[in-house]
Amino acid sequence: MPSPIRASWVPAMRYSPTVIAFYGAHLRPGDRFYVQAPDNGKLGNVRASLMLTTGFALLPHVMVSRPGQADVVLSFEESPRTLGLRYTRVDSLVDGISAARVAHAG
Amino acid sequence: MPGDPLLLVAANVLELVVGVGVVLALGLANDLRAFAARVGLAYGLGLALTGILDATLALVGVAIASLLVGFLRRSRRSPVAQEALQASSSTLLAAGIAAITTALIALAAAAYAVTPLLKWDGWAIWGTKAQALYDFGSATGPLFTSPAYEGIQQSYPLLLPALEATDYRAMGAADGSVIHLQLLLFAVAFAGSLFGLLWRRVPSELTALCVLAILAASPVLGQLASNYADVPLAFAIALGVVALARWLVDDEPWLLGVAAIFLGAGVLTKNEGAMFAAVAFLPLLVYLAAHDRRRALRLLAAAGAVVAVLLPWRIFTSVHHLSTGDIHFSDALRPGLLSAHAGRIAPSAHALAGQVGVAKWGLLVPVTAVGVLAAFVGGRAVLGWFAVSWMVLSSSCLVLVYWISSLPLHWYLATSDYRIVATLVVGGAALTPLLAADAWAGSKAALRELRATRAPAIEPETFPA
Repeated sequence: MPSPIRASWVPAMRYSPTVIAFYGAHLRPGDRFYVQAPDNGKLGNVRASLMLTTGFALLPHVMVSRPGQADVVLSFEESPRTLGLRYTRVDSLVDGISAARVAHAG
Repeated sequence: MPGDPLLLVAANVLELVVGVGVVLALGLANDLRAFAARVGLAYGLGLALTGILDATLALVGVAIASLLVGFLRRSRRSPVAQEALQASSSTLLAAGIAAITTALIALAAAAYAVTPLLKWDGWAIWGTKAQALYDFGSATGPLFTSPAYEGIQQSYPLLLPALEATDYRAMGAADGSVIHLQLLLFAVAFAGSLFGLLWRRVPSELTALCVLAILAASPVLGQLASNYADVPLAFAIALGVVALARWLVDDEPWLLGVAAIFLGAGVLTKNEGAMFAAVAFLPLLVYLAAHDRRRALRLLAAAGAVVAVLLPWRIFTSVHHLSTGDIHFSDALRPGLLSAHAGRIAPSAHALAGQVGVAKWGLLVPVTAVGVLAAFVGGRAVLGWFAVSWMVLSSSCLVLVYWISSLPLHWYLATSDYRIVATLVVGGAALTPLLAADAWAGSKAALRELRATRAPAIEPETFPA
């Protein structure tokens, strides 16, 4: 969970503190997460800005660059099912915002 | 968890102690008066040295706290050479100006202590790095090397976040509001350091006026509160350039050491710090190579020390294949690119010129121009030429940055031009007291002489015997 101090600035950006708190609540100590969001390759696209936001707000959890390296996939306006991974659990805040725990082999 | 501001202050007191050790070792505070005058310089040096060590040791995962004590040692040195000039000063006026500056900082502190990390780069780049250094203890984790965190500009150096992480450790909490007090303390360190650097060389009231003018310029405390590194960079480079300028005219060895420390802190604060430092050394080297080879060699050694400060960070970015960003100065050697981008020069120069005007920075630039003029009039042409060279070369390099960049120019200028000029403006203004000192002292002496010669002629008429 982001601290109240860090959550306080979230309204200044495009993501609600509720979303960040939802993502944080689905991470256990030591979990690594992957951010899945629309990416049109342009400067400041949704995925890039969400990566920055979660990268800061969810520390000390570490973000990874490939879904296969993650313990949890955090999705925004996309479905984790499209990534081709198996999950032990998928929780949704609202349609399009979800946290999916990856089922690691073994 | 909220952090305790007193613990942040305690961490800064330890950094002051480091600086006091350096000032004593250099023989700069041999009596109580000298100590009082240079305690601000000690704080600035302590912050710069702690920042350099913190940022460098973070690359190999070593905590700085255990090393602090090592710097408290006092070594015996010959006392500092006699100051070249005994400055004429009005202590009362200087004290009054210092009181106004203190009130300004106290007012700002009340706002800074409750300001959250709201500005984009303030939390996304610098805030994230500080938080990660606090969480992981070093820069060896994925946040500093993994492509997932490319957006936090991994190639930007670590001095600012490393110092903030030290504060977080002292407080036992990463408080994004209280940390703003550290930013304000950079302003305090700058003010004290400039005063300490120029003490006895420049009339105190002139230095105090200049410090007040700089801190009262709205972009200084305004931008400082954003947790961007531009104003801390401006402070470090300005102090380094002033130390170099004073060394040029006074040739006291300690000034070269102090210049290397502040410029070293500057190159580890932002990437363009290396550019501002290089264009400070370059004109001096050219001048001294022609006039005094021995001093040129000493200057070269100081420049080498600054490069040595930067080297571990450059090795780190190279080993981890971190993107060095969108600006590559080697592009300045590509005629095809320069020609293709030629249309960017005029709008960039125009935008930068618009950002240094009176409407943005108050009277800092006009006052700097008067200072340069005073240097030439007051018989300090070499100093004047150094200041002009540094400012012209710095301005040219800033235009070059926009010229060779491939980023969309309108967006790039809109997001950076207002803050990239901070080093240029603050550096020029910080040089002003030294530039104007001789002319100022000369004017005051002439005024005194005029009063003395007029007095006997007037007295008999006014009060006939």
